[in-house]
Amino acid sequence: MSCPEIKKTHLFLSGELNSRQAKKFRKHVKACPFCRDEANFLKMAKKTIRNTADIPDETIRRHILHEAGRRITGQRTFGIQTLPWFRTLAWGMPALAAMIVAFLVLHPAGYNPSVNEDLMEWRDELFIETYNLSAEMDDLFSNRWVTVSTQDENESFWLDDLSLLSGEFNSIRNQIQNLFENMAGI
Amino acid sequence: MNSRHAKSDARLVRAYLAGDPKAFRKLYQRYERPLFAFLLRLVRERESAEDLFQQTWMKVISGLKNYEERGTFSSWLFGIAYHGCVDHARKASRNVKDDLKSGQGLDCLPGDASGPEEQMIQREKLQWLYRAIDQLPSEQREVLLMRLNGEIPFREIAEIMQCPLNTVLGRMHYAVQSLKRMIPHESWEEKSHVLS
Ligand SMILES: [Zn+2]
Repeated sequence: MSCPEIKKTHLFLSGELNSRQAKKFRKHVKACPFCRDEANFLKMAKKTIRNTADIPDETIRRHILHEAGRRITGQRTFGIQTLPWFRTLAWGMPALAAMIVAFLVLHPAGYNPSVNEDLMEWRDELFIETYNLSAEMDDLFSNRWVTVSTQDENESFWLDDLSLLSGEFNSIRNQIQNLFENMAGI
Repeated sequence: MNSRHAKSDARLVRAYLAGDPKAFRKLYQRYERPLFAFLLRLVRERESAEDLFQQTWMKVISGLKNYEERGTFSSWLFGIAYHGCVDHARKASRNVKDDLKSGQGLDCLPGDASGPEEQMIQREKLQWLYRAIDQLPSEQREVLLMRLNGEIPFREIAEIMQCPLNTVLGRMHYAVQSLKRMIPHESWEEKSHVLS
């Protein structure tokens, strides 16, 4: 009642398969309900767990941050830094948009599984891409810059920017999903 | 997938050691929720989870200077937390699994769900999931939480737990199998598209 390849599902989702193994696995998973089921469950579990808002008591945070500050000496720097996730998003958004445009141009008439194997594979890849990007988005929110009490105002600036971007991102993502669902006739 | 943070984590560590306390704060914020959720699910008691959380960060602060960027910061952090839990269970000389009521720490709220309806669905899901996770044997729970909360790669989980990769993958798979049996199918079957 299982599949001998099932453990690969986990390595695939954690990005621990090399590109050749990953390609092979993607082919396998199309035909294997067990591995697909495993992956779908994990996606739900991860999404649910990442939504947890529970944090330790405020005094603990203050204590840790105070201790961290006490340990170091030297000059303190204040200024806007380019946040790493922002960079990821910065390339992610145009890449996603380009993929949608390319998709519409290449395939305006609809979807025919018998003639286009490549497209199927490409679709799967796009799904993984959007999944990864949506995980990035979840991450942005879970960072909760808004809760940080700080003497400078840079963080709140970034938060405003962020909420705008997230709305935009989600609408693109929904569009892609609708597109696929219509095509697949779901 | 945690590798997406690995480089920026390393940058933040270096910035902090060079004297920038803000860098540490960013690092802290990045891991506050996933680490606390991990500990809370492992020890299933808020007070102990908070103690372990603080201990973990204190070890991080004192260890950072000697921390060579051998593995990723997140693996290091979750490794410290994991070993803290193991010690905690040993010191208490009891198995946390048998001793604590399942479902504790469920006062947690779902985070950034959009509307009140969506929030309720998410909350329900979270409760189902947590209850089910609490029923798992501890090794399975540890692997699952390190993966889902910490996004630690399996190869690094294997190193942290000092067991073969295949064992870790087996635990993960068994955990998923058990959870699937415990959680109502419709709550995850329908809308999830990962690969299809
Ligand atoms: Zn399979």
